[in-house]
Amino acid sequence: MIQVRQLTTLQKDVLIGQTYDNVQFFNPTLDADGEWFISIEEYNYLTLVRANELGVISWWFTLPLIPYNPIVTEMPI
Amino acid sequence: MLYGYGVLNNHVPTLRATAMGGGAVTWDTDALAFISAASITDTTQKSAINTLVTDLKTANIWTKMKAIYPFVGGTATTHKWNLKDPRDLDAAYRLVFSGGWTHSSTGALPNGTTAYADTKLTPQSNLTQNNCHLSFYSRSNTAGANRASMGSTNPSFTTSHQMFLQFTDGNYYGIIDSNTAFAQYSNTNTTGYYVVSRTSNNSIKAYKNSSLIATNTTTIIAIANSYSIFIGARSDAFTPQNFDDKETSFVSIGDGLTDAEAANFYTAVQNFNTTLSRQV
Repeated sequence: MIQVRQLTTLQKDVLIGQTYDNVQFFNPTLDADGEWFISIEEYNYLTLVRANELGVISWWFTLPLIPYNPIVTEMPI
Repeated sequence: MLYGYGVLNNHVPTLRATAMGGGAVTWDTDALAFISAASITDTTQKSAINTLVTDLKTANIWTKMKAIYPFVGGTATTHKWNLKDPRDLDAAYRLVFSGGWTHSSTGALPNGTTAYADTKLTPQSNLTQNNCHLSFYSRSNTAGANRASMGSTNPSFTTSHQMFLQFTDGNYYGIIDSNTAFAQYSNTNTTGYYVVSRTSNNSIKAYKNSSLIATNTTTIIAIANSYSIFIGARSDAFTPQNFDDKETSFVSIGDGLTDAEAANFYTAVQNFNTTLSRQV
């Protein structure tokens, strides 16, 4: 089962437009339950230095691990 | 020691390097520009890039390319560069990675949930209608799903540039310019090198490795969408959707390719990946 890290709306707003390693950007995404999340890779690859720069240390290690529950849309090819 | 050729008259883009005790190596200046931009220091990787560029030029394919992503160096910092124009600019189609990617010496692996790379290359502004190709080297064999390896589409899904290596119905789909005619093929294994090429308003072809696998001769009215092409997902009017989970070690976007050019392209790319010990 794929798991992801859940975000609040405020936390999502902090991460949008920011990089987690000075090269790659966060992509907070909405799931089928209306919850925001980031992937395990984005969570794990955030460096301590970068976490300090973003000011997210206070809540970073408290982000809940939840099952990946994507919005499924049968978009045409 | 480096010997410059044609620097003053600016028409012979090669340099020759002679190492102590070794033979002469002719370095292509376009390869050197990429190697410098991406800070590639490994001799095997440098040689592979140089050979790739010279092979593409020899086959008269190089000038047909708008963007070439060779994914060399093993990090996002080295994987972002466009071999055709290695400047750190959106206008040079340098990749912008978002979401969860795993970068390694074998390529770039999107996580299938949030990862995509924006090429900043839009069909309407940067490609020619009825004359375009996309290519994607997949190192992963994954189950059929609604996952796009690369592409972009307009909101009404009437025009797109995209490839699904194995959709939910088990088929490969390659589309360029119009969703009314696409190259379709029953695919049982998603590893391999995939090229989809449109060379006229009534010819779209798909290739897997060295084989032509699908042709569609339906006449279309080409409409190029105005949304940049993503890798690892599809840009639905700039919103990433259809996240993919296939590791890639080569992607290109450019003009349409003939059968012979597609075959030569496969040979060059396969040699390149074989040199780097990551061929499939």
